[in-house]
Amino acid sequence: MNISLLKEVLSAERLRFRSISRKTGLTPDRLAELAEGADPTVKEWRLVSRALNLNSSSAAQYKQRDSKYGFLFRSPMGGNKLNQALLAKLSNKMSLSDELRPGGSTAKIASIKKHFVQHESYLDAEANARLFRKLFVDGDELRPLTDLPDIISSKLGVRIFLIETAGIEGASVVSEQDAFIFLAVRFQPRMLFTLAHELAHVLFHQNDETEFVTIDFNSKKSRPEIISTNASQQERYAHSFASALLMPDVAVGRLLQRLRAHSQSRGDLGDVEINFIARFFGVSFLAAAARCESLKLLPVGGAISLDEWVKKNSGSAEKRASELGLPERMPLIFKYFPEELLSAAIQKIRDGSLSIGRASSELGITVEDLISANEQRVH
Amino acid sequence: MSDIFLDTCSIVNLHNANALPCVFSLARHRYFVGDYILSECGGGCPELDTAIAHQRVTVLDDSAIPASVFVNLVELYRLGDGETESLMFAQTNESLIVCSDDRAARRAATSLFGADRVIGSIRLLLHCIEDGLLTSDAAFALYRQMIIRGAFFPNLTKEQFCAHGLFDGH
Repeated sequence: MNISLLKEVLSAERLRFRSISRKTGLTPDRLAELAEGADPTVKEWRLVSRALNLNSSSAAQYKQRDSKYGFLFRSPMGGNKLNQALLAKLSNKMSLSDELRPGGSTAKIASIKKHFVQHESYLDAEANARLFRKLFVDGDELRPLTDLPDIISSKLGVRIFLIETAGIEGASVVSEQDAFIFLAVRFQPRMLFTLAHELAHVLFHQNDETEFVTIDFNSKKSRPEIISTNASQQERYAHSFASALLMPDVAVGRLLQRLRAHSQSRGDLGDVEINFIARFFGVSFLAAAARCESLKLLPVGGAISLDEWVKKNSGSAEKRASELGLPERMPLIFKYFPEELLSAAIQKIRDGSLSIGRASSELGITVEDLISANEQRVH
Repeated sequence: MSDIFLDTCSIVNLHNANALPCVFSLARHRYFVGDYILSECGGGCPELDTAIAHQRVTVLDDSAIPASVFVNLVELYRLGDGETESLMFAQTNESLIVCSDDRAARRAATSLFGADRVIGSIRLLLHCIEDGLLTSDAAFALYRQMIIRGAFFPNLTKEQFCAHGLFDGH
């Protein structure tokens, strides 16, 4: 670190000293001394970094690049609220991406933006979701977009990284050169929704001439599938776009028609049908229920009520789906980092311009797996 | 007797060829690792755990080294945790020889300590030949096995492999 990062991180984590103390074996008094600026030993540095889920060498390198991505995250756009450890982690991943293979996705995104309509209202979100499908899946409005991670990576060139963190649900950054989406590792259908939400930020919320960052924080009180009443216009738009993109109104309607024809059902929409919609589109029960609510198939507040009812009676919507014998979910494939970066990293390791250890820590892959990845490229 | 500090990639490569037990039986060396290396190995090398339990490998203590030593090395060489740890212990203990199969880490170690204090897994296999623990054919087969499993090694013929100890450069 820049030793000062340890001080900054610990200063911001004072309320968690007891928990960090348990994880590290360091006393709260010693943690307080470190937060005040006492010089740590390597062991203390190592233990605290590990407790904060941060690679020591990544943290040490962070300050060097602070001027580029750190500045963006700490700007008002980033909400000034991202903790230093997470900020270092995200910044380092983007810096390594720049270093390995700049993709030029920002220019690609700028060129496709002209296809979309304005992006303010709920109806705009519906229209733009249809346009996205027209551009990237031949206008197919019926199929689930369980391959959205691949579409975003391969067709838009946006770099998706998964991160292990409780602090945020997702984040998106559009820099001068590339666009990045960070997804917290969660229940996969929830991640798919967050991905579609971040896609909306990348596509619609960056002005042409400026860099952009947005962070969607995790909150114990809310779920990403439900938009809170005090959310900003941007957040509402991103939420509506994600919902419409993953569950087009026409597809939800046709699926329900078929379900009802099969079951001869005529009453109010219930948890069985919503669970079926969720499984078909690869989203969570709550996201499917919220979509039905926005399509006026459920009364206002019905999504949350139904979600709570299912949890109370069956433990979770997933357990309920299993009890009902619904079809298994289609697998969603999220890669921890963009595939092209692994190839570029291996090339740089071979020529000695990048070490195995650094590639391993920044990409979030073990040394063993990195060596194994080289095996696959050799043979 | 030489003191060898093993980097993660060397441990993984030797493990991939089932060569760790043979290397650990070299009487001419004492072996050392650090906590970062252990963490990077992630329990995936049971032979290493056994060797530590039998005190064939010693885990070095980093509790008295100022973090600034580690940080300065990171800023200078931009290596990973385990690789930086290798440099750090070699810097604080002049008897330590760094064993790494990573080009960037080896280059950093060579610039800091000189070529005499830097070796790789291939050199350890050659020591096994010299000490009668392996035939040259068997050692070459282990080297090939490491490559098959993904080691970032140069592609050597058997003759080049056997002569490798003379220069040991990747």
